[in-house]
Amino acid sequence: MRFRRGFRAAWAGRPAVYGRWTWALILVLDRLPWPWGEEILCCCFVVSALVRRQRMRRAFSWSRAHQSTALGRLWLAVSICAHHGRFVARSAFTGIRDLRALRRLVSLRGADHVVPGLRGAIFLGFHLGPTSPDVALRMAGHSVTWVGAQGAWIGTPATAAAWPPEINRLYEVTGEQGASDATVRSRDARARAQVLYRARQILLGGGNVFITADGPGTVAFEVPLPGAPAKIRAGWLLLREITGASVLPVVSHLEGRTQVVTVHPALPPLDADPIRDLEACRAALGRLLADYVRRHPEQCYMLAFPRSL
Amino acid sequence: MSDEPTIEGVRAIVMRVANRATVDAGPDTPLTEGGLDLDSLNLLRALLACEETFQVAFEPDTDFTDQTLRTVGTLYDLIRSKRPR
Repeated sequence: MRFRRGFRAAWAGRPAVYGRWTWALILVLDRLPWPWGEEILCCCFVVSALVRRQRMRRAFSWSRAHQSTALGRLWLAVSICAHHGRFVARSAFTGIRDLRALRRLVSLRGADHVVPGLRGAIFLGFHLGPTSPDVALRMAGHSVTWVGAQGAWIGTPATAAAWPPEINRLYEVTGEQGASDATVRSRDARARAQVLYRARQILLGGGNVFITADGPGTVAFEVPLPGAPAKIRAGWLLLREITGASVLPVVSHLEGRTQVVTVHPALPPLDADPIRDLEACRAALGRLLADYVRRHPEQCYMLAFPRSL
Repeated sequence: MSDEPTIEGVRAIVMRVANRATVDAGPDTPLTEGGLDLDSLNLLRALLACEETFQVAFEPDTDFTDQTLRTVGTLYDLIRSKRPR
């Protein structure tokens, strides 16, 4: 059987977002047919939570805000640990050999909010549900450059061997222009400013960027949610302010084994009054996140385990 | 018409963005930690304001290094190096 990535080369190209043990496990599990690798990683994350009591305590703390019965709380605590494992496996395309297999597992909703030939837009993601929702946009033919200080860097030469070739190519051809790279892993202000400057250039040049609202960085505002508040960062707000780009929130959740990526209507256009503008964004994102947390509490790993980023 | 870059002009822009009236910034004052404490957002604001005021265009890959963005003085040197001679 021909595997999608050589072990040695994939090990050398390990994206920094994965720890050494996690990446080793992923590469071993990648040899199994899908979905075995995912299932095993789910179990690993549950077992890990049983060993690392702090993690299980956090899971129960999250579940107390969402379930009233003891059984419900237990189910939710275990489920969120298992989902986290599945999302890690899915983020590395574990056991997924090619684009055809990936297409069967990813579905895009709300595509009507993305006008054909959309240029200069910010796709705003969240650490909720399966990661890399931009893959659905790419498969639908939209060019998107991922922007961030730390990531998987799919489509970049440094990590090319870490990914299935077809999926790596998908990222290359849909605009991974290097807003993120290995030089901006550090969390200093200079590196982050560099990333944002590049993103601005891409937006002003008519390209689209994908950036997360709740990653690391300066907090713009918090959205109170049951269990834990969502901390919304300021990077994307500044990009919106200095480019006037429209912002389309994108969320992702798992339905059965399918990653459903939903593009929501654009946030209100930029208001001349910064306080009113911030309030409008806070209200729009507050509604969206509250609805997500109510419907999929078992998939909110970032809110339950805030240090998992 | 663009302004001729001066250390005072750069300092004024950085101080305005930093909104730190209590800090008496000089050429050797660090832009980030231990100095004006600009975070990434304010650093970007300062760079964009410098671009607009002094009519220069930065190349992020080569211009934004730890050395060039270390102090008010090194930022001034960077802006001067970007001006046509």
